[in-house]
Amino acid sequence: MSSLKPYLQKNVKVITVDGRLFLGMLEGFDNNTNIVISSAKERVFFKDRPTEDMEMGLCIVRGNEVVAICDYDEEEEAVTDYTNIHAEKLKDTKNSLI
Amino acid sequence: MLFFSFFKTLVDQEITVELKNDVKITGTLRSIDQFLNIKLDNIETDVEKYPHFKAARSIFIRGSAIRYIHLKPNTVDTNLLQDASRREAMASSGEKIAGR
Repeated sequence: MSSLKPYLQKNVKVITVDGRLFLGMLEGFDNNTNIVISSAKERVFFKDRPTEDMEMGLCIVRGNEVVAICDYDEEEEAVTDYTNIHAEKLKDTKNSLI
Repeated sequence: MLFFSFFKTLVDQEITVELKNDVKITGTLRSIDQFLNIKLDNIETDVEKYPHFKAARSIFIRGSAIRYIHLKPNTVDTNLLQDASRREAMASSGEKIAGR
């Protein structure tokens, strides 16, 4: 069973089906991958302007919106300056044939 | 459940998962469940193109977001898998499949 237990109370990055990226601490989850993340923020990358972080507080993400949850190296994350890292928006996972 | 069992035999192998948003993630298969949710360790992906995955170490991928799983050919016994799928299809339909 690939459970999310090892990620509990850890800082994680969550990718959603509409291609957005959320960061926060994983507080809970269930079998449908519904998740609760605290101190959440959404990180938005742009092609031509600085990266923005938007504070969201405590969030529940419905399981069917979740694409992936990853844990990360806190040290590497802390020394990375995201403001001038540019990227295109991630594609969504809907209508994949279009 | 056949493919669940099949993927269980691939635990600890290196696989590449292609998501429906075109992102390809390579890593060691750590575990799998009945929804084909996948956990990968030591992941590698194109961080230049997708800084979203910067500093990421391991990842949980929801089965519903997966488009393809790329495997090394030598890790799969295709004949055995084909035979097993055929047998499962037969068992679930309760009929004989043409040509067998």
